Amino acid sequence: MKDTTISARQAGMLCTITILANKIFLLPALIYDGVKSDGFFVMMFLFALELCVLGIFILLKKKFPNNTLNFILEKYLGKVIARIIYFFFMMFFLFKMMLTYSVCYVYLKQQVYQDEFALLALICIIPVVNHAVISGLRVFSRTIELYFYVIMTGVLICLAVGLGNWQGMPILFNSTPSEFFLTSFKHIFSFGDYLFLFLIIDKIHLEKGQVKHLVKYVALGIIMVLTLFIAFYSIYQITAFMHNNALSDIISVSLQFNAIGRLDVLAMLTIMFLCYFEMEIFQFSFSEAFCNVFHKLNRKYSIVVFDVIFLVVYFILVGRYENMILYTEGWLPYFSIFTNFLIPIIILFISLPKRKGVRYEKTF
Amino acid sequence: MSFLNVEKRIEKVKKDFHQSDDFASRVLVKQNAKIGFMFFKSITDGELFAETIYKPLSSATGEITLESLQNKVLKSSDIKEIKEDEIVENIISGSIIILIEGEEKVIAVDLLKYLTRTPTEPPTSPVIMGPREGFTEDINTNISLMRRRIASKDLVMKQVKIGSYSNTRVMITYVHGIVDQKIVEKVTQRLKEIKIDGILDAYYLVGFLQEDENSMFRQVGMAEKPDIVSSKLLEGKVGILVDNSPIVLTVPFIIFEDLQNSNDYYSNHHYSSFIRAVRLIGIIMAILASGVYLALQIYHYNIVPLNFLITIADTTQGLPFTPYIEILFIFLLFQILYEVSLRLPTYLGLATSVVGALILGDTGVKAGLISPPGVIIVAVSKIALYLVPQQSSQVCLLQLVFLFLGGSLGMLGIIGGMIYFTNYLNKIDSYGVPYLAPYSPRIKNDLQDGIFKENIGDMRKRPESFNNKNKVRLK
Amino acid sequence: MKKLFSKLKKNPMLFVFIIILLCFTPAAMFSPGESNNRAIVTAIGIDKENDEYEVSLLTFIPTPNQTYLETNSVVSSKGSTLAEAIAKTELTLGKRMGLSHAKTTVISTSLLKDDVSKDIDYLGRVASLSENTILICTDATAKEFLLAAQLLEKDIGTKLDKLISYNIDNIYVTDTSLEAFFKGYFSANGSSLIGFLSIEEVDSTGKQKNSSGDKGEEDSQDMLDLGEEGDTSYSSSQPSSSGGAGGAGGSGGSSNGENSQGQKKIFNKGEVVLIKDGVMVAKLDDEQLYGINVLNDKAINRNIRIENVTDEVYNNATLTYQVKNKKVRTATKFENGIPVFSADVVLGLEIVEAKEGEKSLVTNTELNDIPYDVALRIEQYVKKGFADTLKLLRKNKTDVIGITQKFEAENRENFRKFLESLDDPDDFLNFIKFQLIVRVQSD
Repeated sequence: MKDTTISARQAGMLCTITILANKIFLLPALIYDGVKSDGFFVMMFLFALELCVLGIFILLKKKFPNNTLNFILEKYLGKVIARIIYFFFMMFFLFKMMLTYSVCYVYLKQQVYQDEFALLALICIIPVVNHAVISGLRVFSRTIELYFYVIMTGVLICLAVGLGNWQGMPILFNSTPSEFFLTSFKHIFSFGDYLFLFLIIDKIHLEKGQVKHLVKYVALGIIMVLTLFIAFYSIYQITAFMHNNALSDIISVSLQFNAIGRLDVLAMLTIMFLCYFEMEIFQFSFSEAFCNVFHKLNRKYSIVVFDVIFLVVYFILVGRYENMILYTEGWLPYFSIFTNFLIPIIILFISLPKRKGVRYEKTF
Repeated sequence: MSFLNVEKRIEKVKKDFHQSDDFASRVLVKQNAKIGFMFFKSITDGELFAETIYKPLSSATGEITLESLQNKVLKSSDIKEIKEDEIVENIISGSIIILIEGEEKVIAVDLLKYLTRTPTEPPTSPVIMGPREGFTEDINTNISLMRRRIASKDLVMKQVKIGSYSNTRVMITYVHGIVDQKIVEKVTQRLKEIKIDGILDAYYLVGFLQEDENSMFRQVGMAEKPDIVSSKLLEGKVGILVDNSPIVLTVPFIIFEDLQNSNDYYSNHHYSSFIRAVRLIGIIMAILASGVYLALQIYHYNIVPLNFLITIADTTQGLPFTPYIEILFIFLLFQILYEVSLRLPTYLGLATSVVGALILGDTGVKAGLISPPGVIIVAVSKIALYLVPQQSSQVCLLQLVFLFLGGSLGMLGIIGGMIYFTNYLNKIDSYGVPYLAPYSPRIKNDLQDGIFKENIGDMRKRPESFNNKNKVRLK
Repeated sequence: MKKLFSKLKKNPMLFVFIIILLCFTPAAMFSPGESNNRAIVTAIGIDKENDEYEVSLLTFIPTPNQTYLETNSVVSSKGSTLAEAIAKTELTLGKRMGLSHAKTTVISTSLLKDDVSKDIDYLGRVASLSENTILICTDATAKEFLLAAQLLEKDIGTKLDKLISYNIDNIYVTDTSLEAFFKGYFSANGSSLIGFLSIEEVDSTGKQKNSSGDKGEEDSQDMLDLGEEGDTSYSSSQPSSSGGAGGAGGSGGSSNGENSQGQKKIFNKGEVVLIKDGVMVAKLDDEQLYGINVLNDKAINRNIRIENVTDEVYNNATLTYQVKNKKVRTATKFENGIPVFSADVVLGLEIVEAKEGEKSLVTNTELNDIPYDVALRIEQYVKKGFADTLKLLRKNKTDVIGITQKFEAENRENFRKFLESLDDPDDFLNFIKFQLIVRVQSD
């Protein structure tokens, strides 16, 4: 048990990384298309819902500090339902990985590898991500911990430069309630960030009083995303819909950056790190769900299966990254309703009766 | 009994040494006692033999027995009684074996001739201000150097002999009360399990002490100075001294140790922090510079600032090689020059460096074979390599790996490589200690001696990364 | 070999890594690299004639041991679309065009006769072109402009982008990038401003031969008010090497063909072009630009000249004041259904020059006090500047001073109702009441 757990701090960092996942590239432009600058409020609304899910996780963790989600689900809902829920998780993270890959690919293709072989990005990413998943949660959490400050520095510099180009407060409260809720619904698949916490619930060392570490990092991620949105809308306003890579674009608009060299290289490096780490988290979550759906198969099988499914589904069924982005606004929101909200609500009922927490040994 | 006959016993030992020519034996008769001596001329001290054995024996009166020799006649403090089957081993160790006809006992007098150099400052760990003594090849000298620094009853030395032929003395040392005994037991067990013909240097043991013996990353600390080893023992580590080697090994080991330098502890801690940061940046630069330069040139011209891009484009125009081959060529050239200058005598090595750096580099650029930015980038990465000399071999290999990654896959490949290697390093646990501690995982207490070093007066606790028993360093 | 396989079996990812490297390394090893595969474009010029585009690219041609000037040339090609013209240029040079470092796009005013957004659609789409690429226009052809730009470094040691950056920071005081153009274009009013630099021919002594600008010789007189920002011409003889440097003309392309007719130089008069729905509606001179910048608190680098000042200190003096700081507060309200835009401008001035007849006055601290009469005249000057510009904006139905945004932010509902009540919502400026208070104080 001790050898595979991660600290609350590390779990918090994983949360920050997933919060930044696929919200800092295309999402600001897509949301602007629906509700203009009120996209900021859409994000606040969806984050509020997300925080409820986090709350449910904390409740569950308090009640079952050492048990796996599988144990909890089987105990309360039976084996069949537990497997169905895990299957949904499995598919959720598979599509999540595809979406993350798609948005990263759009960025890489447009800004970084303009002429290169389309599979290069995939070939770079998949082996590293697979290796991380084989190495285990503890290993890649430590790696994320090491690079966390590098990533945060990158994001903060981008935000600082973005805020430095502040063009005035974007015009808010400009959309109707129906537009607001419709846009919120359309982009719900980009959320569900904390679901992976449920899958690794037994691996997080969360002592009493350590919840604040988790919340601290979640708050950091949310603040960063919201700041990015407001800076992005302030800078681009009416042309926000034209800009696909928010983090990079809030830097590259700066006239000053020409004078001090290509500052957008910072955004590029940050995005690359984020891209790898997000995919590690998502594939690990897939792997966890897979192992619980197919009890007899181990993690190595899950990786092989994931790679095969990913390649087949992505290149044959999805075909193009644009399709994947269309799906996120098409049928995936309906799917997300089940994973992002229905399952947490079921879990909420399980976790409602309280029980005294069990203390852990200290671990790194 | 035949075995009490001195000549026969000497003959038997001689046979054991395969009639080796430096084996010497003498038989003296003194007051009816036939006394036999056996020793290796090459490793025993002749003068000491005369002073401690021969002269006292000549002037001895009364009955000569081994007991009287041991207790009254011989003027040596290092006399011991040994068994018949220990004769060979003691002769190898530089002792003189003394036998007396008719007596079953055997005594050995240690007269090992110490052919050692005096402790000098090791070339890899020089200090500007601070102790300059380094370990020598003699384990006894090294032990005394250690004892002088930790003059405590708690400094423990445990001997293990390794090597069926070399019979090398290996000393496990630690500070009782600080060290975690589990680590001592694990080290002892691992050393005892080694069945090898000979140990010629401490590095022979590194592979056996590592958790992952095939890893390209060393998981055992190496030090050449007693002050460094002493400080590590006081942190709760175990030292391994090996006879005939001026290197002392320490476990557990974290990679950050190599970024620390004894100079850091003998100078202002603000300056030490700055220097450590420079070292870290330098080592990152050494690993990544060539690969990043190649990635920029081959894939990412669009993120290179215009002025630099113009310089690159101008200088690489008309070169016969592609950027990849050019950098590989310069890389290889530097490595060859380095190896040559290392192996040639000093004066020739200096000449080679001049020829290499000035003539080859400059002429290569002028001849249009290589470009100045390429030379600069590779030169910087090759020089920065020696900011941390202990890691130079690993870093050199990493340079090559990242050069291939950058050239073949661009920046995404480099970032992927960084994450891959970090994951790999995070998998390594050196005797239960995370290899990348105190940064991954972050161990708050140990950051006091991290990149930003604190004043010694503020470092109240021993590092938590190592499972030491006594946490308090300063009360 | 068996041992190697067993090692790889222990770490399959290492195996995958090696395979990937083996797959990609040979290709990469023999690739000359993007820095050599691409022609580095630093400025783009677009002309249009008879529905045919001519794209001129100020391109860097790598040559060892040469200067910037000697290694830059203008390459141009024609095509029915921009993409086609650029593709032809690529064919000519045998290199792909690298637009990532293009900092400037120059369009000729001929493009501004119709909706220019359609013409520069390619630039908006091509991802390698940065958002902050500067967009300016010129009265000559863009190709001539780029040829003249080549000489800038040789003549006065500056590059085109530095010159334009200076203008953006100090003269236009407004963003004139592609992004800014599109932002204005897509706004409700569809109006935007872009910088203007004129090209004029000079003879061998550096004197203007004729003027292609609208204002002709009057310009030099008008510029007096601008002080150091005023009319600056860059003239010197064309270097002998430039003819060769510009010789890389593409299919139908040519460069430096104007050598025999004298030289065309860039003239910086601080002018901007007012664009409505992608069409040029007016060219504003520096005075009109000043009027636009009255409400721009960043626009402070400007001198104000007051003539014929006579009081206790001065006798028929000409005083020049520099604006050292500026505070602008704006507010919107509705009075009886009429939108009112009020602005309070506080100018902090410092006297920089005082001339009394033939003799200059000795500067001392007392002189920094602004006499009441002078303050009044400065106020009038500023108000008149704003009023004149407002007249122009009203006439052209263009809002480039952010009136719409201000009302949208503060009185959105009323403003929308107000717009709905108008026959032509585009003409809303004519129905807004402006109140400008100018206060002058010594800095």
